[in-house]
Amino acid sequence: MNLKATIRIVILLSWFPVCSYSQSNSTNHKINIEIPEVALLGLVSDGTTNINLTSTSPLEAGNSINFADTQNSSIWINYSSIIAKTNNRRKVIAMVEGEMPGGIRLMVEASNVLGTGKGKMGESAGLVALSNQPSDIITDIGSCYTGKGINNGRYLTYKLEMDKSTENYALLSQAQTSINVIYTLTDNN
Amino acid sequence: MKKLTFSIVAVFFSFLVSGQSLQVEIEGNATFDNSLFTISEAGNDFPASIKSKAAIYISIVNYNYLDKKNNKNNKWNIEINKADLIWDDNLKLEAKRKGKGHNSGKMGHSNIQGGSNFQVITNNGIEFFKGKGEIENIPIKLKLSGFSVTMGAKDFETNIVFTVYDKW
Repeated sequence: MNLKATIRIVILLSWFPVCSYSQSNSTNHKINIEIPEVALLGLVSDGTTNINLTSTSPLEAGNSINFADTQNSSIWINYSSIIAKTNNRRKVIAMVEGEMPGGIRLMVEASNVLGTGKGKMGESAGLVALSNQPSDIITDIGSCYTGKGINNGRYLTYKLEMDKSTENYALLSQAQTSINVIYTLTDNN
Repeated sequence: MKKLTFSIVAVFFSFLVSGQSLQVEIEGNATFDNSLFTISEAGNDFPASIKSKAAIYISIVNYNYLDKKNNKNNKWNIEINKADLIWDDNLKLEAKRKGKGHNSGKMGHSNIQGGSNFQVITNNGIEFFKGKGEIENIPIKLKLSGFSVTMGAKDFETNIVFTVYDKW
């Protein structure tokens, strides 16, 4: 093969890529998605979230005051929680702001989960006596949402209980007392 | 000797025209940072979908002088796919062309078609849109869906890949 022939072949080969395939060129862009931690809690009801609990007087002499019918289940608790680590947990705590009347205890119980929520919505701590110190109401909450509004999340049942110890019964007096119950969605510590 | 010189020039010329002519370039930064993930009220999940905070802009440019001069209305199409770094199969990323961009260095409407509705970006390339000639600053909007509070606080990353082919 002489020089001319070699050069012709080189020319032909160098044209070949143009004819044989369509060309492409790529570039890329990185997409970052950041889902943040969230802790949101709300109380809802059909109307107001103020409730009245009133005891009934004994019908016969010698009986104690009656708190049996003193309960309210009109308030629902909704929450949305996002945690960073799957084994971390949150809880809902409650405490009373104001002075509880002597001789009675305010109890609260969160129901089982109802409604449209999803995720790890935790467990009710059962019937809990409220005080000026935080008490666990719902535990073991992970990343979840309960759904919004009444019939979503958990309803809270409030009850008044007489403190049956002799000394505390003596503290009962006729009075109207207003207190606030404060709920907080917090990390397990 | 003349023939040899001609042949050498021809070889160089052939390399010149056989090199990659059309290139796709990106400007801008489309992210889904945590300020977009808002929950309006306690008990709610995230909204069903969110759109990226900013658009990205892609340009189709031709760095081949001869090709640019002789083939001003080069036909091309853009394929789009993603390459996941940290991803969840529930997440759905979509893209759409929000405008037509403009012709490089001249007035008038750019010749561009398709891609004006959101299309799901998968790991396999799909045709996104097509056009003719050099077009700059084509705005691309991204939409994300399929995420939920129940996924937990996490970061995800993927690369969106735009590929230009010189064909229709």
